[in-house]
Amino acid sequence: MRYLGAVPKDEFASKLQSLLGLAETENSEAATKDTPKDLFSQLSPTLINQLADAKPTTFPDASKILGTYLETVLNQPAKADQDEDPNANASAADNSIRQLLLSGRTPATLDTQQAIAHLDQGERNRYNQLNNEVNGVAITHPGAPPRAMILQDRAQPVEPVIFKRGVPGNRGDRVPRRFLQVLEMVDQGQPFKNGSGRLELAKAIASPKNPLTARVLVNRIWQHQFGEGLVRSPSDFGIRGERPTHPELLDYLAKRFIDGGWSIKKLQKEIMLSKTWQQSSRMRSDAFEADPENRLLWHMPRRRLEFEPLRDRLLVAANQLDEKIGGRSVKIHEEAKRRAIYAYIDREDLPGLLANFDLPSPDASRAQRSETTVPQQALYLMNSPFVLQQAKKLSADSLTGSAPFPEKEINTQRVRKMYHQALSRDPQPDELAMALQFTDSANVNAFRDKLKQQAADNPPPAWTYGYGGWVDGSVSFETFPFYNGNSWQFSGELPHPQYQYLHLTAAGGHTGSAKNLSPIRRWTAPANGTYRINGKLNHPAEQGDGVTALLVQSDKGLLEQWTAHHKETPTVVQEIQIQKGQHLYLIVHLNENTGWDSFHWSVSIERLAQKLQTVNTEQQKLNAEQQAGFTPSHWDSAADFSSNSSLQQSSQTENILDPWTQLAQALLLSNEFAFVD
Amino acid sequence: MGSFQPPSTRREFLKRSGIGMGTFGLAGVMSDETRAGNTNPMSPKQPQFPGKAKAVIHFFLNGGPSQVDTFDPKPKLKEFHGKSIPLDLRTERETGAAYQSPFEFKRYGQSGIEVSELFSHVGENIDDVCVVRSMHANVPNHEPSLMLMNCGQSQFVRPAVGSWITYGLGSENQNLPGFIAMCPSGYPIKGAENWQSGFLPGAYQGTYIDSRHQEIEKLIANIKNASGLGRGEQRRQLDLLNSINQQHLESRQGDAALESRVQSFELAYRMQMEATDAFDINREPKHIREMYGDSVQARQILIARRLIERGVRYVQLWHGAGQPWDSHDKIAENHRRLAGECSQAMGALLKDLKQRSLLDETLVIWGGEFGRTPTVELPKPGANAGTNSGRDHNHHGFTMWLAGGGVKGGHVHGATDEFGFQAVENRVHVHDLHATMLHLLGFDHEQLTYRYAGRDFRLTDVHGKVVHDIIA
Repeated sequence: MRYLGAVPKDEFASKLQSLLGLAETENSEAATKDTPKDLFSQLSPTLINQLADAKPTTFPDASKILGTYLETVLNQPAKADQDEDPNANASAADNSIRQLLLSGRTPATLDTQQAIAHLDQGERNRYNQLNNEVNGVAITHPGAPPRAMILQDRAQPVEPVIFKRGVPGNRGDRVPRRFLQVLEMVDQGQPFKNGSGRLELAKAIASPKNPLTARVLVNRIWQHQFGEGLVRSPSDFGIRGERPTHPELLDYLAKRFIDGGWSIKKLQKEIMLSKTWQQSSRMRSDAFEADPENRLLWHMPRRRLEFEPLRDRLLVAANQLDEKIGGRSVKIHEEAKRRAIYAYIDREDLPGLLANFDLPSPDASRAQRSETTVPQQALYLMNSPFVLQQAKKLSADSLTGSAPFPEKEINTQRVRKMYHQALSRDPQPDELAMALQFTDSANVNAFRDKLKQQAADNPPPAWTYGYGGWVDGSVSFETFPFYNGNSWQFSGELPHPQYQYLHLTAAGGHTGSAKNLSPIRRWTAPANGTYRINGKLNHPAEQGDGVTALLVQSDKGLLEQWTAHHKETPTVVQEIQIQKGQHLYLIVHLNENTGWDSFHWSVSIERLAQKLQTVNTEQQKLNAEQQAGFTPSHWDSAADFSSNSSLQQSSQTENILDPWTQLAQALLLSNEFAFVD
Repeated sequence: MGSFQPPSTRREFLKRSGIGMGTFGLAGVMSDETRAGNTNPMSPKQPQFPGKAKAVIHFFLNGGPSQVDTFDPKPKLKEFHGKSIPLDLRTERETGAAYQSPFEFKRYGQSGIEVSELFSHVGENIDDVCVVRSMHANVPNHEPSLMLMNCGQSQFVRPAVGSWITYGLGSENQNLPGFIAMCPSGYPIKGAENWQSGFLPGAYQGTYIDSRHQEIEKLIANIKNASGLGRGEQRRQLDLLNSINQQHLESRQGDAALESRVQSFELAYRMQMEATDAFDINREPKHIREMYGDSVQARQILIARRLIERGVRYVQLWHGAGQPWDSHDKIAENHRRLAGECSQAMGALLKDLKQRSLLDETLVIWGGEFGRTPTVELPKPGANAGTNSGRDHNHHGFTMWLAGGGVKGGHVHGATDEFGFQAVENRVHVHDLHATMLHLLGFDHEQLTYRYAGRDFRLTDVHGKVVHDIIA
């Protein structure tokens, strides 16, 4: 074709014919000098015939014929037994062209990168979107393998130069890559030889001949145990750093550490078995006078738990700690229940909560955490949903059997149980008395009265947001535990490792991965009456297989269902009779396949005027409604969408802190809980 | 240049000035400091010398406002409009001919300083404002310039100015965070790194507040009890907690860490009231709210005044998420809209601080991470909507202004060239601004240090000169 393309336009027709003639007779002999010898050697007779028949007069016309031919060849099934084919020759040539096309070794075939480069804006966006989804799976899928960052040396390592006064433009001497000069006993100060020298550096750092590494590490471990290291400037062992308080001990432990194979576990054990570590943290005024900073370790310093162990301890007290080893990290500043060693840290955005509890910036190395006391820490413990949940669980766990013991006996048992679970000890007699007084019947009754009063003042909200499904003729319904400001969902994480995209917003939401994991809006009838349902179910995505919306009444079961896929469906039920307190469940579940199950469903519920009553004027209508004991007569799933509470209002009775839960929380907030003697 | 002092002297000095190391990292150890119960990093501290300013409000017009359209009028641009200028300075993108300001300038106040119509409300207070027209930074890119403006360093992780200042001074109000960064509807570019504490203790990290919200529980984490525990009930619960803690303390007398934790619950209990009050601008009289206007910007600026009034040390007010002031195109339209959102409230703040006698001790700072070119940005597909209507970034010269806190009012410092491209007269680098800010707050910027990784670090590194000319 390239040859044909080079033929001048006006000569095309004649030249083509002569070429075709050549091709037919090529094998016989007559190849002209300016025609490459094997030009037509592999050409299919079919193509030659087609060209000969069509007699194209221009190059583009000839190209079209070639294109049609290639398409035909590609689409025709491979012929297995060529021997019996009358056109065996032609068909063999076609077949080899076909193989060539399928193998992707033709000039017109693009590799993936080239294909991406040819995408238009829309296709490119789509490609990026799909690519992100693929990456998302690699990152968030529960089965995705763990990943670690690794370094790779560049082929040509940088030859370092001294920047005079730290100015990159002001160059001084070259300095070959080598280990620290002050530690030249390790490798005699030889420059590194292999590539960047990273391996040599690592070996020099961990060399038994290098005392510094072991000293620094031992000091850090000591600091972790005692609050202060044997050297109180943990990242400065130089001339400007502090002298060790116990130099011989530091060297002894460093030696033991190296001899023990650099085992941190062995080192910790050795420290903990020492009399020093096992001392009491009691104060002695004579010792305090002599050594107020405890540099001589005359007592065990009382240690405040850092945020991570404090949080883990809260979960332990509530019997909620997930002790699973390994696996994906979690956001410990949210609702996660895994151990805090699995904390996920966003280096670019350290959550305020963690910063309030002295977690240093993850961007800069820090040898020692500061230990501050700020009211934000107290606010978290007093008010956060996380801590309150643990208090509720601790309170619930401490419930003991009731009859046949007298109330005081039962309550005493409960206080004991709470103390054991939270502080691992019995309450002292006066602590017990305090707890019993705090939870005595007068207070509990006052609390119950308050609940009743609140229930009377604030009738339960019409809408409750949860998940579950309509399976085997019954409804399962659990309220969502987490509200992120726009949507009710399972936790702060979306997609959630287990519940994926399951959530509810004002306008709609997304189904879960199974029919019994469907988002549900529950509406509670405030009065007996006849109601009308209006609404529109919209499934915008073209992809996937759509969603199904169900309307279920608590006492009558499934009333109606609608399906939508890439369209909007009206969801109307003219009349429903409902008794006060009964529920309507608005459930949306996936169809056969997961994916693309985002939906909008706006629903309005209207209470119809009683038929038997003749309601003529607004005033009469108002009177009728007041008699019925309520005023609203219209509800809207989007407009009413609740956003004013961080825990669900509907579970108000469970949510309010009764005196027992307040007691449980007080134990979790106590100094005894937060400090280790 | 900072001179190295022997450690003993430095430590001595730190002790004297009340920012001793003892405050940090030594809780649980019975040093004299902790015995005094001081584990609160935000407890107020004395500066090195009496400073005029006690608090800072920093308007961060992120994206980079144009100086020649706001506070640095250049009539020459009119003359050269559409013609090339005899200056060849590199910025981020290619720019072309001179581009005259689409805005009118007018003289204001007794000082007669010219201000564009965009900031007429600031113009009305110009006799309290010190306009620095000769600012310059290092590079014409957002990220490094944001880091330079906020942390004094583009390459490495360093504490933000607000962190340094709260480290040095603590805060006057323990019921509110000492360093607050407000930005409506999300983060600016570089996010929380703009208010990072770097190697300073985490407590000095700025507290981010999404000022789009109005409900207190969305502004300050955990400020309301998630189970709706009433105030009386919570008091009763805290009394119980105090009794439990008292039992525990009895056999552990004299441990300041225990005592200060007990106190922290009382502080938190009061903070619930105080923070709710501080952020509730509905408690302002109508005429004050009207003076600021009714917008997200107005709200956050008014909240800033309420915070400063209550002793918060450093409030940074970002215009919005991303980089709203980055007008690469349609600058006439975009700058007008953006200024329209904030100008009135900025003027109101100056007036309001003054009438409350708070301006003298509050340093107000206005500016972006850099300015914009006096030349037009050349159209580029996908970059500036393909129009000749905007300006590129410009670090060679830009304007910031300061007010209150001991700076001269009605004063212009420095100048750019005749086109407004490059600072040429009395140049002020960002490091110099930082040095001056610290000076106004009572610190020698070479002496406010923190030892980290074996070195005494400071906000200005090895740079910075106090601009005495702008100090009253």
